[in-house]
Amino acid sequence: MPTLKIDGKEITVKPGMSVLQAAKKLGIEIPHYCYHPALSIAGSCRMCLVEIEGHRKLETACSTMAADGMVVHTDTPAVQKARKDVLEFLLINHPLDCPVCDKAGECYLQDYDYTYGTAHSRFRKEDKRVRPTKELGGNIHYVTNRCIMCTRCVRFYKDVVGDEYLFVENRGYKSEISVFPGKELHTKMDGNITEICPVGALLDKDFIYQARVWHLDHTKSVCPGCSAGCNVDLQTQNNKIYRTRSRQNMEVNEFWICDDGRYLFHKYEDLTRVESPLKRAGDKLNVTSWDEALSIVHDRLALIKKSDGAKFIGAVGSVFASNEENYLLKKIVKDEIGSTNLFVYAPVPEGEDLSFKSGFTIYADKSPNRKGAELIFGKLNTDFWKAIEKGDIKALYVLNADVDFKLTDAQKKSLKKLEFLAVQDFYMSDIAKLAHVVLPGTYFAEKTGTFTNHSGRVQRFSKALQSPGQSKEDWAILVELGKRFNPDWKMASASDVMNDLAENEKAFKGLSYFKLGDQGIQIA
Amino acid sequence: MSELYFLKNRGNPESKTIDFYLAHGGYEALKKTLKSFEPNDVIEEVKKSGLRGRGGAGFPTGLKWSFVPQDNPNPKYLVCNADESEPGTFKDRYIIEHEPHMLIEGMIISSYAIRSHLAYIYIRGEFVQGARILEEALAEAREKGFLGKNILGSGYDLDIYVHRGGGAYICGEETGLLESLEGKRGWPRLKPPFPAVVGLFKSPTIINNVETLANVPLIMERGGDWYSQLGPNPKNAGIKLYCVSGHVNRPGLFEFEMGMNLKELIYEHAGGIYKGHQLKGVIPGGSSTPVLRPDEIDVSMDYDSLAAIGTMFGSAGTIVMDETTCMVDALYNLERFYAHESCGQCTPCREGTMWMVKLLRRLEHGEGTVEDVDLLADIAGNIMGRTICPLGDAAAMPAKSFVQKFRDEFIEHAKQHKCPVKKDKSIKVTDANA
Ligand SMILES: Cc1cc2nc3c(=O)[nH]c(=O)nc-3n(C[C@H](O)[C@H](O)[C@H](O)COP(=O)(O)O)c2cc1C
Ligand code: SF4
Ligand code: SF4
Ligand code: SF4
Ligand code: FES
Repeated sequence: MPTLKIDGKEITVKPGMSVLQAAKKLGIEIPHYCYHPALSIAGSCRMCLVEIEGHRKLETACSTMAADGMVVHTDTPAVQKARKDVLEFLLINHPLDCPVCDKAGECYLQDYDYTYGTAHSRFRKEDKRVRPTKELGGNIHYVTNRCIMCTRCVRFYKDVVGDEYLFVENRGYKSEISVFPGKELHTKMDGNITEICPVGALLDKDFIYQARVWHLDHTKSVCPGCSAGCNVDLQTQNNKIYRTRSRQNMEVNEFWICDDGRYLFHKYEDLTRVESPLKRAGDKLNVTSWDEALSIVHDRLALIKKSDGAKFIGAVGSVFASNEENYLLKKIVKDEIGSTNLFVYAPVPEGEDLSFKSGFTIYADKSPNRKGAELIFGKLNTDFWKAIEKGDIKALYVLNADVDFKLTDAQKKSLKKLEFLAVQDFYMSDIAKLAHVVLPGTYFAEKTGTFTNHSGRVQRFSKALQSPGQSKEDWAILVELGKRFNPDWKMASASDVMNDLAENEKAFKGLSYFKLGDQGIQIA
Repeated sequence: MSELYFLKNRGNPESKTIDFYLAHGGYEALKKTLKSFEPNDVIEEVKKSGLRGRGGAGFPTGLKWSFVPQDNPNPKYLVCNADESEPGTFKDRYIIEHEPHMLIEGMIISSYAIRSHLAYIYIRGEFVQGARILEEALAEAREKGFLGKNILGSGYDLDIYVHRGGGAYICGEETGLLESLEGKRGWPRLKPPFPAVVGLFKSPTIINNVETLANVPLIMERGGDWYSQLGPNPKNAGIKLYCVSGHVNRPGLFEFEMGMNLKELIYEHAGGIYKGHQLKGVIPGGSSTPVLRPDEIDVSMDYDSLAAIGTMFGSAGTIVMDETTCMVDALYNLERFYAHESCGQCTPCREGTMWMVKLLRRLEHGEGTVEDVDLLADIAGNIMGRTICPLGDAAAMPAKSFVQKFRDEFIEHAKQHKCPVKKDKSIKVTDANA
């Protein structure tokens, strides 16, 4: 285990660790462009030059392995000058069009130049290199003039995706990034290059010219696109999501998200939302108050329990609902009503998992919380249709959260046999259209909760948006309903629900939002 | 050594055939080596000879060979660097085209020394004829049993392949060469690890210049001790090919012992300055080596003597410039070459070389300022020592030295707003990069 000294601080690191990584451990930032922790070392931008005692020349911290007895200086006049010089070289041909560049505000050329560069240019009179902007395919827009040739994007395909798509075309000062002839960018991973590009060269057409990044609010969330549970950052402004970016979690998604997850938020934008509680009057669903809607649900269920028995009441949880929501549903049905008819909406995954070289996987199971539902409900019983058909169930409470939940004509007919159908959903789904009462819920960006991913990791997502109209976070709706059955229910927040869950469900024992933190906890 | 080694058959079209080579003692060194030397003893012999790499850096050849880790389970490779692209250099080409068996014999002995069973000759793409001659010579050698299985009954196996380069100067840099040989873009690699440990296909690899390898039969034939006596001192030993081009009356290739006096080389052997003009400057060892003024050329052409006066022996490509040469224009020409040949990986080399070209164009066209002259030297300094491979330095060193040694001429360009030099228009130069 080599022990070295960086800026006077001593540190012992694992063999094979670079000076840059060792410095990072000490909290010393060495500026860098081409280095990325998930990619192979290029050592080409020369931004990370440091002084090492006994070495004739400055060395690149990213590619120099920490060695025993090494004495490194990251802030000497020689190092400061080298950084200035590299920045000068990078800037001579840079268009400096920050005012119209999407990357402004999160650009490492801007940031490093403010921190390490000089304000004036010695590149006088010369024409800058000008090259046309290119479309690389998919949502990727390449502003050639802004590219600093760090090759992170090239290495991303090689090292993470596992197949080469991008390459450096031409040589020397004419170098630029291109797509290999005969190939197209459609790897489902392409959006990531817009995140790792340190400058405004690779832009996401879905976001281009939409917002200035410093106006965006950030909310830590979890992608509900599949059972991977990638950590994401929802970036919003004026109660609208502008983009989804990956949030680093080395145990889950490392630095990446897939394009399905990245653009998933648009799917919710197109749906007709339910903005207030609805109650049925003949063929029509009319607007009502929360108080009345919840009373109707409580009263009808209580009546059926009394007349036919609790077992004629069923409920459908969902692999798309959070742990908290499924837990509350079970608590109401099992503990307060006394029925064991707990079903789960859980479509069978189609197709196969899609894995990339780095191990990043897009799961065929498109539900974010199957594992959580299994831990709460046990073996998933999905066949509520049979029970309805046989008349074993007269009243059904459906907690739905899947935009792809479509009903066949036969299923619609079955549902009409029910004496009472309550649906808690955030949009006018097929099933909501048939309900007696619709309780307007929210989708993942509008609420707080946890999902348990395919590997059994419980991860928290937080509310990024205000939900429309009277709609409410689903856990809150369920708590309100629970209180109708049992006034002793005290839960007042999603966090309270988690504490209750942690107390009552073995698998979740001891968990709390505080303990889950930003990165979640492995429970299975 | 008064007899010639490399150039002894100059003008004889037969010299490239194996029959001619055999009739004049060819492959005797190989026979001797395989019969009475263990691989390590060959390395010792080459160490003793004092032979230093003729590709440019002058690294001791035997020492380099001894870095090959013999406990590495991977195959070992010998790669001959025949990319010869440094402006002013044309010595390897002679060996390839006229004495290919000297190179092949040298490669067999060298491969044996490092226990390699597969060797490559990476030859500059434009050397079409050279590649053909090598292929023919290799076929001859194979037929005579000098290549293939169980060479001369020794139990040693070796094959040699010719690989034609893709046409980039940077593929002469040893790690750029390896990438190119592996079928990739010729981008120099980060070092360490050095090729002797992790080289071609991640295996131990020795890369040597054509001339370096072609010296090996002579060393094995006469002995390392004998070879080390040639030249001014054991650290700068042996025989050497000198390329002289530019404003001399008799440009061409010369062979002497190491340590030929530069002035004597120009004024006696190369026939003095063209048309009796005055000498202005000399680039001693290929375009990347710092330029010398006329008062600096009374110097021994060897690694250490040239290093002592701030330049380099390099590839021994001596470029002579007379009074009709504009030093700004000459440097402009050189820097266009380096900007064109930069692979583009490193920021300072990719951006800095082009910036220098722009400044030089401006100065030469009378649009420059005095500050531009200092800026030019400063940019060169900002490239130096800050890049992955030495091409950055190769581009920076001429700029620094031209400005330092011919500063007045650069300043005059700025002050007079035009080129002040009376160029000799009778010499036609075609501008490939214009
Ligand atoms: C830009 C560049 C170009 C080079 N071109 C050549 C070349 O054409 N031929 C050559 O032998 N060495 C060339 N070299 C030097 C090689 O990298 C290497 O040092 C040499 O082949 C080693 O052989 P030697 O030890 O026998 O000299 C070049 C180096 C650089 C930096
Ligand atoms: S496009 Fe971005 S990531 Fe790719 S080489 Fe250019 S600057 Fe680097
Ligand atoms: S892999 Fe799954 S969880 Fe991750 S971003 Fe894609 S859809 Fe979302
Ligand atoms: S110094 Fe120049 S040629 Fe060498 S690796 Fe860097 S950019 Fe390429
Ligand atoms: S980060 Fe080290 S050279 Fe680019």
